[in-house]
Amino acid sequence: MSETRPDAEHRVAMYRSMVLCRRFEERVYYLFLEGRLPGTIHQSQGQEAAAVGVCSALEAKDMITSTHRPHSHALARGVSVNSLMAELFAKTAGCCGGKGGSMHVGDRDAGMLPAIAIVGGGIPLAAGYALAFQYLHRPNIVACFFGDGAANIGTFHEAVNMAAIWDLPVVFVCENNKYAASTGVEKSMKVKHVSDRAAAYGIPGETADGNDVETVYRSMRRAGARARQGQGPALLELETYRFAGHSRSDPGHYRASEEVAAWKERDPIALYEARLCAEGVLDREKISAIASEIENQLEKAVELAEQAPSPRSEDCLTDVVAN
Amino acid sequence: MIHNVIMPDLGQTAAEGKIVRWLKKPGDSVSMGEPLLEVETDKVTMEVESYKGGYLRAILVAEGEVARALSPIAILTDRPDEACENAPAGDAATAGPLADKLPPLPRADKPGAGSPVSSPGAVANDPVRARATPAAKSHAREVGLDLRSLVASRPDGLITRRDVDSALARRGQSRPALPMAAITTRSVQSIPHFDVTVDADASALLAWRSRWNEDHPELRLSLNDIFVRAAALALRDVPELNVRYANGVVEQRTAADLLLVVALDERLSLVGISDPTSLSWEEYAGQMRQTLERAGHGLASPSLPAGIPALAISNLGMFGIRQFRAIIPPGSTAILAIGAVREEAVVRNRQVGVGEVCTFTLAADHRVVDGITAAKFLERTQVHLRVL
Repeated sequence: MSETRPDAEHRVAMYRSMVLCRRFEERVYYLFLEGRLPGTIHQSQGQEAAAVGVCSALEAKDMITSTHRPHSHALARGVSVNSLMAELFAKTAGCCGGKGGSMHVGDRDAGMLPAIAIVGGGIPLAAGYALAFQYLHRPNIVACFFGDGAANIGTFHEAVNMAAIWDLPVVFVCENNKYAASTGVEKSMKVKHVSDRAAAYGIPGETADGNDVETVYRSMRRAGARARQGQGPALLELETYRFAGHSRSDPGHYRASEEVAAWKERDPIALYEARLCAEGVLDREKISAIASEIENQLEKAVELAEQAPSPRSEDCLTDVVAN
Repeated sequence: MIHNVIMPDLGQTAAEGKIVRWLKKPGDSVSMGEPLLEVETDKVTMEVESYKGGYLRAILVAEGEVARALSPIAILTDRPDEACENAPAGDAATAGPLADKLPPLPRADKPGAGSPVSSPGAVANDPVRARATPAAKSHAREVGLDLRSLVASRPDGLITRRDVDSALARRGQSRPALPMAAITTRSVQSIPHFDVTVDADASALLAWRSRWNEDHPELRLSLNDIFVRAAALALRDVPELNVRYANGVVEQRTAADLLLVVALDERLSLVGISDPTSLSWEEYAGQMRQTLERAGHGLASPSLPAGIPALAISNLGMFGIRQFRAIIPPGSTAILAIGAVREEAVVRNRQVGVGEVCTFTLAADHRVVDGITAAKFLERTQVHLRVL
């Protein structure tokens, strides 16, 4: 079992990764308002600790699956900023050649299957990929991201059950951000915690503070080590909150402003920044160096994405399978 | 530097958005991320934040007006005193950077613009059967364009909505047809209309009006002015009509604001009239004149803090129409359709005589208004036309 506490370098890397996720989403939001970015977007501000804590507990050849809200997952997993931005701009330089867009970003070489935007759609794929790891005797695991809404979808029950009976090397990671689009979790679920459902499949379940990146990291290390040793899947529920609406056309009027404000008090980046500063791992100087480095990285990514060519109409016929 | 603020593409079913409110006025400074305006689509109302810090210099689309997604709606500059006369106006050619890059490949009139893909140019259509996207088909049907008369800008000959729009723009009638088509379709599909008709005695108001116009040559009143004020007074008397249906809730309003359907440049426009019931006739006449003049110059209606008025008024009397049934503008609850004042044989006390009569038809939203309320309103309107 790897109960090791992350070292200083790792902690700064997790902090940097969360800031990158946040700044990326903000940049994308303004590009959208400016009319430079096509399509709608589902943003993940507020959920960075879940993405980063889980991904930084993975090994290089592990795999993640994602959802319609995939930007932070991709960045935390190490999909390149340039290819991610280009994908959002629907350019050939994108990680899916510009044919996937925001809701399908991914890069198998980086360890992320293209995201599945259908709610609950990625869960059976994660089980399938884990089956492949098991079948090929690879020492790898799959981290499967999904939301509280997906936990009520049929694929969740089927895939988790199947993964459980076959002891597949997969960790089901539920980012419980309290709302399935606009429906509060208490309206769609009788159990108090998504993790309570683990008992029904005979696997371990845990609910953790999804806004504390180190808590997430440790929980994921534990569940991951278990899965890697052939002891089967686990269900890890991370309690978190999205600061923005469900999508760009959602003002989030169904949430009380006090509730949003209370969660913003628990901003995962601010919390971690304060802790690392208090423990002497970070200081003002390092923080602003990280910030400006990220700004430059994003500036360059936008520039490259805007200059890159769009797919041609004949590209419709590549990357598709027909029998 | 000059920056265009665009109507964001709010996705899903919204190709356009209505500007509910500007939260800043020209000259104000705006910081990045600060709410700049509120936009209403067919699904939601939401705040739109500024993507840049700077100064709001010009508002191109006024409150209450609708703008298509990605079209420019305001201008920001970096410095407060920067010249911005040359700032782009609301034209598709200067819309947000994406407007040129959206899926339909370069337009016939702008070959190659905004896309690295070269286009072999316009392709003539199959004269018998036009291939078009569903959006283009339904749009062409709405505005009465024959698809076979259109030229596709895409190399594969598929007609897109953009082609329909450009054809309309060439015909010079894209503006009149579009809003009316969308508004009336939405109203008829979503509001259960019913209507109630009454013949009102107009002799008292005709006599009163001639006296008034003789005494106030500078402040002459039209028949319509008198009808509008009487309707407002009746609306004040019958608060059951001054309601608005929204999301299953009935919202009671207090101000007797009205919405006037007027023809401007041969197109129908809706002009808001703020509650005239507390004004004297002199004040009212001046206010009406000013509001209609402003509307004629394309300027915004007075701001109505309570939102879209519950009662709209449409008058075809000047065309000799006897009576008609109007369509309720979405957001309103009822519309009063006014016919021509006419001389007619009337029976009073078992005697046939000649009288002046005008027919009023109130169409109302039966989700929130019943026939009794409609009848009460018409009854009160007649009272206010008899006692001026």
